[in-house]
Amino acid sequence: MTTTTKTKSPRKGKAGAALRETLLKETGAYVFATDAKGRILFWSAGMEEITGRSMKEMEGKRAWQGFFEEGGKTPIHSAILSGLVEKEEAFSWEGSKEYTFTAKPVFNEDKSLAGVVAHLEPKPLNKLAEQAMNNLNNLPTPVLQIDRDFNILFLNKKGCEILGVDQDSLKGRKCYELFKTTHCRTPKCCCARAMDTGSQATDETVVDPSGINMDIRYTGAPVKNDKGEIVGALEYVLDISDQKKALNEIVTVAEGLASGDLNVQMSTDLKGDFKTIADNLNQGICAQRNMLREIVTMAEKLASADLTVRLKGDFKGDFKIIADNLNHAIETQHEDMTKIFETFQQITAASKQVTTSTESTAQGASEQASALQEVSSALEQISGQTKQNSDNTQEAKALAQSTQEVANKGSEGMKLLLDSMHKIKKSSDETSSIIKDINEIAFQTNLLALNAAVEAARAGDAGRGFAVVAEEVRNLALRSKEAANKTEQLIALSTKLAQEGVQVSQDANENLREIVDSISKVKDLVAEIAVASQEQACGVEQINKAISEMEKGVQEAAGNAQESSSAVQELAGQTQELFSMVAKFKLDRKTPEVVSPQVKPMRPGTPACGAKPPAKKSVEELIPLDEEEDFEDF
Amino acid sequence: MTTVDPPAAGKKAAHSPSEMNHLAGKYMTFKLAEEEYGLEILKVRDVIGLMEITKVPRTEDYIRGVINLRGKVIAVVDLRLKFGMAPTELSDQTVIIVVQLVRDGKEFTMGILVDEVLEVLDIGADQIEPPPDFGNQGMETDFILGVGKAENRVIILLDIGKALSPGNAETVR
Repeated sequence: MTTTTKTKSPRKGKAGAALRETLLKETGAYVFATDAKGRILFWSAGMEEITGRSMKEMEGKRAWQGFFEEGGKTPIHSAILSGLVEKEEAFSWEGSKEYTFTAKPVFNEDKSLAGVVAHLEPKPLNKLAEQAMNNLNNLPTPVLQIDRDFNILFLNKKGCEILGVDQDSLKGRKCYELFKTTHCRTPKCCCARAMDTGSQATDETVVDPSGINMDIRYTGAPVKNDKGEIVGALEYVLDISDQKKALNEIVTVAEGLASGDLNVQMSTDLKGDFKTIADNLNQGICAQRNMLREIVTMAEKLASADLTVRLKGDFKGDFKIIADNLNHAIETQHEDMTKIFETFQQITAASKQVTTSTESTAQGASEQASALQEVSSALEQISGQTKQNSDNTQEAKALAQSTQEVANKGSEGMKLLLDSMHKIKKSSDETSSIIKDINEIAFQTNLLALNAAVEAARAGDAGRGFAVVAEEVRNLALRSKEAANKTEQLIALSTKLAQEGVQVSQDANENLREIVDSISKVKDLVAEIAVASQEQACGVEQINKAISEMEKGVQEAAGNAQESSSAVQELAGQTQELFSMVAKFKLDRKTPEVVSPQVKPMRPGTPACGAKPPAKKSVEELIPLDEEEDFEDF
Repeated sequence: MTTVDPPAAGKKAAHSPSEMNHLAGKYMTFKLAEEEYGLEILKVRDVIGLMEITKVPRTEDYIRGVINLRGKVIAVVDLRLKFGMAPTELSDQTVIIVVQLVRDGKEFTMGILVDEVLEVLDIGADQIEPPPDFGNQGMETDFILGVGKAENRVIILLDIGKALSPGNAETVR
């Protein structure tokens, strides 16, 4: 800032060229000159300053070969080409500020181009200074300029306002008269230090402790004249009373927080960032407090097994995460507890059914046992009967044997009878022929008698006696014929009867043979029956064994059923205990999304056991206990 | 049987009751079919059992043939056929009665085949009836001597000579 006054274009005097050049060289202005080819002839100290290149480095080089753009289209180049003043606003190179670059061609007397004078001017310096000054005056914090004797040269509006003085009435007043800080007129004064050391100093103090009592932070900076002599100091002041207050409060609050007191609070009349800080702190503490309260409430409810409790506050950030996590944890627990509750109900129902089934199994086993007893006794009877059967069969066998023998004998007797009959018939036939002979003899005798009678008749009286004899002979012949005829008839009858007897005995023989055959079959059958009875006896024996083993098994099963019955009883009792423990938990049935959809929400007042399980249907669905047979397999 | 004296044989039969006396005597009775016939005993020579009869060609049907009776060949007449009945069926009762006849003063022997010989019966005169009168039927009944009655039986007493005479008997029917 102060340079602006120094760096004005060089004054033309009557000094020699060398002097001029030296002056030019030493000027702080940003000036350089080239010949007609653009080769640098002159490179001011200002140029050296802003480019970092010395005159020696740059001399003889083309301006753009040094650091400007390579093959650059600087205004110098343009001016050489055009012979006119070329200007480029906002010229800059790498890393530089912006400058107004003016290249002015210089001509010889013969109007030929002698060179180019270039001038770089920082962008509008005067305006900036004015604006800066203005800004300085309007700065919301006090700014003060004093001379070496602490006379006030300038105090901006804010400073005046704080100190309650008029800006125009400041002339001739000492700063320490107004500020009356604890540093005033001591070596601690930053302005004094700045003026002594030539470098700025910063410190904190209190303005007018008995009056305004304002905490400030102030910086003192040396003010130099063009020659670099320290002519005064510039002081700018920051009002840090709010900061201090806020910091004090923050410290208090932090201490409170550190000791776990959440009832601390920042005052609400703070300003600026501190207000934000205070608000945020208050909000944070409030949120923490609310959360803690809710958590405490929740913990109390959780302690009394109420799982329906949730953190419902509008939490933010980590609190929200904590709340969400807590809620999630409780919901998970709720869900689990609901499921556990459900499961216990189901287990209770199931264990009841198991109890019933086990009882019926036990009953069934004992019934089975008694049934087996009956079967066993029935089998014993069967066994006895089978044995008797066997004995009877043996007897039957013997009887069949003897019957067969008798029948065989009968058959033989029949054969003999048949033979006898045949003999009878034969002798009858023989007798018949004899009878025929007798008949023949009787016939002949009759003829003889007749002939004798004829002879006697011829003999007349003399033959009378003979006739009588002949008559008697004839009678005898007739009688013998009659006897023969009778005999013949009798023989014929007996022959016929014999014939019939033969037939009958043949039939009888046939029948006897059939009887023998039948008896043989009967014998075979009886033998088979005997074998079958034997096998039956064996089978009955085996069945008896099997039955006794079954009895054992049934006895065991009954025992097992008894055991499992008592085990189930115990299990039911334990389940009941567990269930009553679970039932202590208060569960929210109005939040169906918490409960899994297939599990019905349970009534809080539902008794744990004894009463009908409310989720009857789902029990049946989950544990299909459709038939008792399934349980009899136990 | 022996109550009445037998009449003299060979006497001519008469139809008056007084004539019946001479018919009284012994008769050999035999059977033809179911009927009983009587034959004067003195006409009977022999009674023999059936023996082999040898047929003789060109004789009447009623001639059964000839037999050899102890060296003498005699003809055998089937009386059934002679009387117009069915031919005799030979049986063990069939006999041949050998009769001795006189024809034209000449004695000859002939056998008659009968179904059965019965007996020698003594028939009294009171037991004999004359041959029945058949009216003017032109019937030749002179080969019947009479009808003997014995115990409800009727015995036709034959004049065997006439009965066996040729051309006579066939007209009996």
